[in-house]
Amino acid sequence: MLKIQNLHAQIEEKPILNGISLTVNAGEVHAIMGPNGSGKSTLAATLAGREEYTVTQGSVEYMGKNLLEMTPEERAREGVFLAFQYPVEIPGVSTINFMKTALNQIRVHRGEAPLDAVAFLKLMKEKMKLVEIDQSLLNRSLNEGFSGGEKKRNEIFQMAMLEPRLSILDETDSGLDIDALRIVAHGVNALRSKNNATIVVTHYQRLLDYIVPDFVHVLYKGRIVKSGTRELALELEEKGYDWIKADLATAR
Amino acid sequence: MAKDDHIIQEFTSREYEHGWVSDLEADAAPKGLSEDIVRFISRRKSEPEWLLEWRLKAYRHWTTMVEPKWPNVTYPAINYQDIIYYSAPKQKASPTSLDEIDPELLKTFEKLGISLTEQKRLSGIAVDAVLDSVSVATTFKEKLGELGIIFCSFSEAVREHPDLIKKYLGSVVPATDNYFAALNSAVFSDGSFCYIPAGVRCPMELSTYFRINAAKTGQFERTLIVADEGSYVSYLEGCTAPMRDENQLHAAVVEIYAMKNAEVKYSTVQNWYPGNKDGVGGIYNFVTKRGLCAGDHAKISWTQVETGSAITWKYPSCVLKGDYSVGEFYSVAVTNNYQQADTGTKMIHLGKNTKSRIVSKGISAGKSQNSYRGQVHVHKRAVQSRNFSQCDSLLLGDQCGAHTFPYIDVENSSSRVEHEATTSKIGEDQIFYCQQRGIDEESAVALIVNGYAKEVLNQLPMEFAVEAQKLLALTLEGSVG
Amino acid sequence: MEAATDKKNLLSLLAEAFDQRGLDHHAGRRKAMELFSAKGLPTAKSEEYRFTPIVRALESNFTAIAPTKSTTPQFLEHLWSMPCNLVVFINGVYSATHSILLDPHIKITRAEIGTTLLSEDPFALLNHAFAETEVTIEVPPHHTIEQPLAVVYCFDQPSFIFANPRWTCRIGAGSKLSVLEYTLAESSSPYFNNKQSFIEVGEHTILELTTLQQGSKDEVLVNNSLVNMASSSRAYCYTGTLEGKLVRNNLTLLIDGEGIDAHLHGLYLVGGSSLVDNHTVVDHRKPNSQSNELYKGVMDGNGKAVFNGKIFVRPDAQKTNAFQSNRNILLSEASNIHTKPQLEIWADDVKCSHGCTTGQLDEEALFYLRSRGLAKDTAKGMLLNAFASETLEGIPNESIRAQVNQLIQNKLHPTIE
Repeated sequence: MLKIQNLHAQIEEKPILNGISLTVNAGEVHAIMGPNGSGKSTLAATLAGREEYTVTQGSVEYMGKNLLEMTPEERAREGVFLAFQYPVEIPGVSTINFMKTALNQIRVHRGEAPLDAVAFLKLMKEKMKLVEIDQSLLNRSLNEGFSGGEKKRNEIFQMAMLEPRLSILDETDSGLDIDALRIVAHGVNALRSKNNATIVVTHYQRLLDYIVPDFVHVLYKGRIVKSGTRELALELEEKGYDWIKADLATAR
Repeated sequence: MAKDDHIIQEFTSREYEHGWVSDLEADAAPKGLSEDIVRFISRRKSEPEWLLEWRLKAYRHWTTMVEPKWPNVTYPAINYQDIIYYSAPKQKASPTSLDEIDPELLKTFEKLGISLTEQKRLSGIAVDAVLDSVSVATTFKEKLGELGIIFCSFSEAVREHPDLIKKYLGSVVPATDNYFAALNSAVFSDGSFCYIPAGVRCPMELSTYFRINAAKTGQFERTLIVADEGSYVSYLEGCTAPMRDENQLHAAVVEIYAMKNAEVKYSTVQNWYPGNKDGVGGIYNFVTKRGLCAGDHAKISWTQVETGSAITWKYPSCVLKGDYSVGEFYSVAVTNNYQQADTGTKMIHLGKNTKSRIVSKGISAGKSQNSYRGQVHVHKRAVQSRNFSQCDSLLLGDQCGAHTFPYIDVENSSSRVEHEATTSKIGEDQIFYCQQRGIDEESAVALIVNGYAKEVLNQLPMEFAVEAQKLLALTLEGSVG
Repeated sequence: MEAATDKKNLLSLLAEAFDQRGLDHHAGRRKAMELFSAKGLPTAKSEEYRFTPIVRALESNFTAIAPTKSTTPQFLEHLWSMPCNLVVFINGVYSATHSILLDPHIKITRAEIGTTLLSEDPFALLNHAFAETEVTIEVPPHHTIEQPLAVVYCFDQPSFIFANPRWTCRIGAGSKLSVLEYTLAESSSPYFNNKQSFIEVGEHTILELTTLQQGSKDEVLVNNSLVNMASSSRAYCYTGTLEGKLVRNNLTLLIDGEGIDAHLHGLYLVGGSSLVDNHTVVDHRKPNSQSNELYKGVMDGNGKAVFNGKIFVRPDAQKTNAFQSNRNILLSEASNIHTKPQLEIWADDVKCSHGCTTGQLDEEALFYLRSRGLAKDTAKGMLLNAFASETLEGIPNESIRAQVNQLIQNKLHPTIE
């Protein structure tokens, strides 16, 4: 589904990603871990098409197409979903209105007819249950005045509505207290299927107790320095990142 | 930030849609202002002596006044002697049917989307079209006449209904009220007049459409609406002007007189030429609008969508004299590029149990400055009165400014005044978030701006609301990112 | 002139007691006492205590003698209907025998007072100098403590007590703890409770801090409470003041991480000639967090209240959302409220709002209820309760909320007339 090869990216002349290669197949969950500043969020933003990040080298192939050539909205319409670390607040635009606009633009892109109000509401009610989100919240301005937990639940709700092929969860645990973390993780798990794939970006090993990955990659200084299975995450929790750093130092 | 600049540039290179000039032969007064010019205007309009005296009194008072400096706007001094105070398209003295109107003139309004050919109008809106200084046509007059409703140009009203004009002209905005109102009183050339008899609910929207066509011309029109006891009317006003490098002055006066149990809804979509992207040209829109709830339970509601003009200076106000009378003000004011707006309202509570509500939504983009200035005054006698004000500002990008100047004076303890204000900023983050959900940039801006202004747009009559929505999106398209 | 002498008396009493108790041998205490002496007790000229004459409230019966060691209080009744982990201070002194823990994961240790000063508030310094011991309560990471932790201040002496209870609570990452703070005292015992607490909230952790102030009618209380929050944590702080001659709360929340939600709710019901002063500080130091504050008050008789809410948004704290609201009802001519929101914002992409209202009971609503047959008092009580209960949104735990609501109702009804 996704094939990243030797990806280099920078912001304002400062290189952040220094040759990332990663292949994600349908049905897989990949966790990208690493200490602060290792480039995790840059990778997520680059895949979603944020313009501040300039790709200087490498390629990203998504469903057989060149992902890097697409605008952010084209990527979204092709099924790439980014759950933001800190979801943006948009005053005056309700989540319902926002989702209706987004879903229908995506449907038109896919050559499907836009949903009418009734069909949309039916779909929405169904997806709301998944993350225990209340309709009164969805009637309010997008993310405005939402608690950290509500914002993240709203992200997963949107993910459920748009049914992406590739979901990138950027630091989903941030802003979540321990109770909210369980609810959000439950939502993510319920959306897993053999047809879609998920990339979980986190520095918090505990999240992976709730969203269990098939593969774990450790990002350090813009490179994947170690890959493994879930056990790698447990090892990291126990030993911390210094262990990886020390490993690298001796290897050099 | 480089992206911001690019987008702002892209937007600002957009042409002002109504910026063309019609090739009409004009009958104009010489430049400048003097008692002679006032007499010239009055003579041209064959006005009665009392009206000339009224004008001259206003003119003499004006010469003793100074231009107000308190608004939060800056502009070079206006040379009042460099303005043409009267310009009328040449046509037959008083057209009796549309066939007699210069076809070029009809085309002008067709181009604006204002058809003066009644049959073509699907919706029931009666239009009084004002070009430069004179009213060129009023539609649906007969139909309204059957109900006793008078809707005609101001000049015609002076001729046909002198008693009403004599009684109500200046009754809400006195000739000496303020600098621009005094100027208008001296030189006003035309405008619309409307009288709704007691107990009549006007069956259609009444509308005035203003357009400045001639160069170097000021437009000084006057609108007077009198709603007799228990009547209702909804009134719309729209405006455009051609693109010109020099600034043109528009100093209008609108007076609304609402008697007992009467209700007047006045909506404006103001789209005067705002000047170009560097702030050259554009209309100075210095307007006095005021409504008087003279009788008990009267209600006046102002709704405005302000997207045009280089400088806007306007405070549609309500004087709540009757007990239980209600005043409302709903406003969306958009400024872009170098536009400046200092706008808001005054709610003067004089009667008991009077209520007012203010919802102001300012949107600033580019390098513009947008100020809300509002006064709520609750008089000692106005016991148990209430006011609720909500003033929101939306900043697009980080080079514009939003300012709020609320003035609240409450002279009794049984009244309640509430004020809420918020400021929010839209930038790249919001746009990217929308894009990431599959919404393109254009739709995103429209979504955000219309969502933000919804509360006010909902107050507009249906057809106007759609137009206003498009206008908002168009004005701001590409100004965030 | 007179006040000046009394102030000097109070200061010298404190200085004497400090020496007599041999507290000056300890570096940390000495440091605190020196700074305190340099600053002196606050007067009407001190900005932070402008409306709050603590010195005057104390000077009538103040003595600085060492509090008696814990006796067995006759009335250590349990305020709450649910079982609680107990941390008990009797006359300001920690009582190990009464402090009973139900959850084995909670650890309590006692240590000598440290040398780091938590605050430069004069009363915080005084506490640092005089507190008997540093009580530290620890909750390990990844544990949800089911039963609330009740911190109880008991006063059982007929003579004046100068109490300086002091505790620190550290809640590990991914844990959850509900803290209930309250006072048990005989209705007329005279005391000065000069309390200091410090709570450290770990990442992803939930803290519920419900402080209920219903001590004696002669109580002088200074409640210095500092909460330090780490990323992705959430805190609900509720401060309900129902009794006391003079109560001053200094509640400070340090928003020292990203993705934090902080909620501050408060209610003060002030009658007689009491004074309740709430000073809150919400200090946003990192981006992407939010705080929400609602304090409400009802003043009757000669009751006075002060609300001062500071919100700091530091240069790094972009995308902060901070809301503050203070609403008051004055029931009598003689009652009054000084309210002062204070927003200091150094970051440019933030959303902050504040609002304050002071009004009377809605006469129209009162009339409406009476026209439906309700007695005036009942109608008044109903409206006041409706006004007050909005603050209860700040207590997430339903059964705690219900009990606080009951206490508020009990208090509101006699006030009405």
